[in-house]
Amino acid sequence: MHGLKYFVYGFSIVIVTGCATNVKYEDATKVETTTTDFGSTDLQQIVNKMVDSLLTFPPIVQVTMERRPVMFVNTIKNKTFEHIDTESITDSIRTKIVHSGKFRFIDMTKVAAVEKQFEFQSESGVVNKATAATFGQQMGAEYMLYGNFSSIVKKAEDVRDVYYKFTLNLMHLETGIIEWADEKEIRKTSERRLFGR
Amino acid sequence: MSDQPGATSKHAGLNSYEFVIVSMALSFIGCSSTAGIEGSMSATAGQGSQTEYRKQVIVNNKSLARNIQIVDMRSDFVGNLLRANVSLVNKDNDTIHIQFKFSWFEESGREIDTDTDAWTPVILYGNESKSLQGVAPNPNAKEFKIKIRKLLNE
Repeated sequence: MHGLKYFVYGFSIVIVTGCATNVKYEDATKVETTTTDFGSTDLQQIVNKMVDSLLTFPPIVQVTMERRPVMFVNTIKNKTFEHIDTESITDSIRTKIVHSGKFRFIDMTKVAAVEKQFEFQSESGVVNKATAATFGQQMGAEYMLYGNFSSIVKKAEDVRDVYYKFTLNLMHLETGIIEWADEKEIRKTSERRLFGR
Repeated sequence: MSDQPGATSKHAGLNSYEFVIVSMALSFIGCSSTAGIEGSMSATAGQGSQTEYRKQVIVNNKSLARNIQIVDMRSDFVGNLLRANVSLVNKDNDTIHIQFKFSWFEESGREIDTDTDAWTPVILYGNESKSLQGVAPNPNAKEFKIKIRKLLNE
């Protein structure tokens, strides 16, 4: 009996002391449910839904059959209670749309950097004029992508319920018409339990 | 297991060694299979303007397949993008939490943008049927695969 006793105690100690910091690589695409806060799975779901919806919307399919229109991404207004990097969401949406080969983009966040480069190429005297980028040749955007991100949070004693709504619109700049719009809803709850996972 | 309200009182009859042994055994039982069900469908140019479709379902988790069944797989081209539609049914009376992921392949069999599609959680209520949709990342996709697994707190 003593042997069993020491074995059990020893084994328990080994298990307990085994709980040291353990770093491992994880699947970046796996469903993440650490907390109800905005997470990677929410971002990936929003991006997939929005891009799939945009690229399969019949009038957009028609427009992109023969040519690749130019668009730019305006900001996504974060109306949630959390600090969320909405630029990260629009970056992923833009990357997925570019990969589809259906649209081209101009980046309004890089206008100052581009102007500086033009100035350097034309005025510094360092750059060969024959290879310098010509001023006034950039393409104007035909469409603007913009949206809102809002949430409703409800809390009871041990339950937290979060509802997210992400809305995205595509406006035709010349006419001001919203050619496409869609929204993605996500609901997450967490419950504090005495037992179980 | 530990959700049962009587779980804490049951160990009152065990001595401390037995309780530790039982607790250790329970802590090891937590692991579940991560295997799932895979469905694939390819679209190839057949005779004339006809497109030929080939379907295949592989069950790697019989326990999951007892509850979830792929009842239909369809695909069409929207413009020149392959769109997949997979119909599932929950054969059980209870709600099942699953996750799915699409993979897309060129005609040559090369996977497009490996591992960029994320696992998406889905709730299937008792005896509910649901359609899962996916759109190929670019016009080169001619074949898709859907992977379905139980949603685990991994």
